[in-house]
Amino acid sequence: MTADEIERLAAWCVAAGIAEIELEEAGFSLCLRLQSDVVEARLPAAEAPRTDVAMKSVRAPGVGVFRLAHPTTGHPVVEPGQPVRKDETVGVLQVGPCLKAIVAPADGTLGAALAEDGAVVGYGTPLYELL
Amino acid sequence: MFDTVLIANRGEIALRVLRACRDLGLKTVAAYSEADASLRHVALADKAICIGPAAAADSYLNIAEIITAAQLTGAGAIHPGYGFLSENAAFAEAVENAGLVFIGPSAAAIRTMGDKVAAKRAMAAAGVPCVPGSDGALPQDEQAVRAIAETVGYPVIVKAAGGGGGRGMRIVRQESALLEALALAREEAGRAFGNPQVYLEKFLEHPRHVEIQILADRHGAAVWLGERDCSMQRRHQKIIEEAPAPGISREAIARIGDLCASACLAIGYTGAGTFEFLYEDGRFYFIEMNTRVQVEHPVTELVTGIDIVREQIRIARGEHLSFRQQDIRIEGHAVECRINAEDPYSFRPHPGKVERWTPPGGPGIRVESHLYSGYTVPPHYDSLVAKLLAHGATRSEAIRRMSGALAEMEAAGIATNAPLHGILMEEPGFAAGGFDIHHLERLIEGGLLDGRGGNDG
Repeated sequence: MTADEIERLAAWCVAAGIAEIELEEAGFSLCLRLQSDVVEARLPAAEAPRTDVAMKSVRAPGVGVFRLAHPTTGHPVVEPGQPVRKDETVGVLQVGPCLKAIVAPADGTLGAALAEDGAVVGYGTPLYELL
Repeated sequence: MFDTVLIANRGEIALRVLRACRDLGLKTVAAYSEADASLRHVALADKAICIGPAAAADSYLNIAEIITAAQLTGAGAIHPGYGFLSENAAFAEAVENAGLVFIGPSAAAIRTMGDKVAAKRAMAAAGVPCVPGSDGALPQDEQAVRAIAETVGYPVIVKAAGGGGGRGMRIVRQESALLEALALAREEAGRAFGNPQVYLEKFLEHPRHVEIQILADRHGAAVWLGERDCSMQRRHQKIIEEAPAPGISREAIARIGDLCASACLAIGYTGAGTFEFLYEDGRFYFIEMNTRVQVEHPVTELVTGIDIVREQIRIARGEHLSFRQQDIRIEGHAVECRINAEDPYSFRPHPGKVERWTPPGGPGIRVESHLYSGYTVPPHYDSLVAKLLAHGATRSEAIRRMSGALAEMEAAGIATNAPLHGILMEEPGFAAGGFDIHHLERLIEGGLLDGRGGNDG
């Protein structure tokens, strides 16, 4: 399966509201897990005492092109202002035909994007505020 | 042809490559690790991109990230410097497959010369003299191994086919110790290099390390740029290099140099490279080829006036060498001292903040260093922080200038081995020249450093 075909398959799944799909044939296996736009309402993380207000940020996991919207869905993975959990995918970096997940380093609320769409970023570049 | 070079290295060599690119009118991209954002070349490069965390395995050895960084920053070529991925055939191949230019030889040439057994076979075929030995990996049959050792003559040394740096090596002085040494070397080689194959060679008792610098373009021209004597070593690490090699005739160097240049053509080698030899009793014995620019390349630059890094990049651009063998002249004498951030007597690494950096200067002095006042030497990498070079009309003038430069140099805040170099400049064996590769270790065992307490005892 080519990267293009996988991307098309992912788009169909999103359109059909499929959250997870697994394919297996000889020498090939594929598992797609899609984050729906309508995620079940999450309870905000227990409020930690906010004495330390040092701004955290979500940083780039590697070299890539920063995308404000997921290229498959055309929407941001997580909208600014939404609560996120540690290790949750909040955005994407594009590297050629591949996408790299940008994950939250801690629980919090996703803030504004700190890089422009299409910007070439390196490992550790701050990409979103995390409040 | 490319107009932007990504520098996949750090420290002084990254800065050296940047300067060569600048001289050629090429733009540069610094690919650096998270621990290296404050490096001098990162500030000077046209673009800079962080490729990973401090650990080299996740940054300077991360092939995929480096290639992605080159593609996204518009670099058409990658210069690997020395160390890290510079002699990694898979990297050279990945760079080529990505449609980029690897500034160095082909992946095939790196692969051949990186395998010591294959390299020796290729050199023997090209007429380059090698240490007599097993001519390939040793067989499993014990009788056959005994017979080979007998023919070569004791003492012999058993070495890993896939490695270097002293690991997987055993010296055997008599037949009774052969089989045990063989088993140990195989096990160590398997563990260290993932390849348990070992080979056997005659062990030379008092060799010098003499190497030949070559440049070969992609149009069938290859030249040699004289030799370097790198016999001042500790634990197989060179610390002082010089050119020319004291006491070896120019005719002997020319003969071995011509053989090296022909060997380049025979194996399809292009770029800069170094043939390393042991030299004993007037004979050269090939040990290995370094398929990259070396730490000590400026020694040769000082005596020939040729910018080796610049030529290396020009060759990668497909240009012709701009000179012929008969144009190359060796003028005067050059010495290099490697300045490491380490205690000069205990050799313990000593990274930290350089409060004040004052490099030496004056006629005949060249400093290759990324240091500046306020820079912090990170603990994650090699401890080389500067190379001091001195050039003079004669060897004694070069040494005198080096002594002055060592005394002038100031790196307040970190410890360096400059005081050790200062002692060695005055040491009778060094002053005489022509010592063997065990000279420094013998001096240390003999008490050269006794009573000189290091900062950290």
